[in-house]
Amino acid sequence: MGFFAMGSPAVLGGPHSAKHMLHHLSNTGEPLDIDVDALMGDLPDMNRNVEAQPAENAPNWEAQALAEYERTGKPVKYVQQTGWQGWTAEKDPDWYHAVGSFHYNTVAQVEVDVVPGPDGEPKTTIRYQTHVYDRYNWDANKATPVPPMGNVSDAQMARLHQPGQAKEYDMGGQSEVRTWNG
Amino acid sequence: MERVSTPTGLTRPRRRRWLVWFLALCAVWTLGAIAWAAVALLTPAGDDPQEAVERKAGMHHDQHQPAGRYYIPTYAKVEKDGTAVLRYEVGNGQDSSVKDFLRTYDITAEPKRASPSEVTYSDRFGDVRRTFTITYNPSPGAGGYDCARITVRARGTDAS
Repeated sequence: MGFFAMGSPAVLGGPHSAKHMLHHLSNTGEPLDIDVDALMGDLPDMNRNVEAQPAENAPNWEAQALAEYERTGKPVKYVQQTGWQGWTAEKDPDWYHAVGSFHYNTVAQVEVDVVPGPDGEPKTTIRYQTHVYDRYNWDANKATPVPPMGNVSDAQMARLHQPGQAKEYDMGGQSEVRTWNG
Repeated sequence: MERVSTPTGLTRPRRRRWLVWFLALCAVWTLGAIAWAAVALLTPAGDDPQEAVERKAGMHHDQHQPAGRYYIPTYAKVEKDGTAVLRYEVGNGQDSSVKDFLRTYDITAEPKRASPSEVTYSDRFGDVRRTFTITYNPSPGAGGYDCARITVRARGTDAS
């Protein structure tokens, strides 16, 4: 399996899937960083969904921030988040074999600027960052066709973890901070 | 050691003749093994009995290539009337769930509720009519389920 993992970029076309498999076989169990910007770049549907969320939530977040600003007269900075949601990397075979389905949460810092903008109104800025989390493990009753090995079941892979020949691990990361200006 | 005379008058041990035959046999065996390995590696493997049932029901991974990962049936058999029956068990996570199962096998039919814990889907895959019966094992939480059992019954429309 390790030999296949090293060759999987050529077979499955996946440097990320190869990297994640090799980390599993390294038997350390250490968490692995995911390059979330690369992930979102390769999953344009997910990227569009993430970028739409500040716009969808902005009216409500802005209203809360402005209300607080008007109440205190002081700069306002607070954090909002979309909550953990699921996504499946089905459109990209490499990421599909690397992470499959995963969770992501977008955390936004909403800031009301004391200095009024050109129109005389306080300016609201939303900076947001997306966090991704998944567990690299195996699912009962699933299998992956691996040329030329045939079907490799998750149960076979899980048998490596049980006697300590490989180790499941957590993986996650965060995107770069993006700014939404309306 | 018995010596054999030759036309030139020189003698040669009979043992050498056996050695030549033995080496020739080894070479033939080695070439045969190489040929066998080449045929085994280059010839596409046929379906095993479970895969044959999956293919008959339109549930083989070859028939749904974009999915990448597939479910292994816990039961796979063709009944006497030619109906292919497969059973699967799925969890309620992201990687194993009813939703993922439907996505994996391109099942887009509308569900019909048969009972509080049972839903059916019916579709056609080529010449095969299929019925999916999903039985949910409810979890203590409201509206959730721990796992689900999916039974697929598939029959060719030509009754073959």
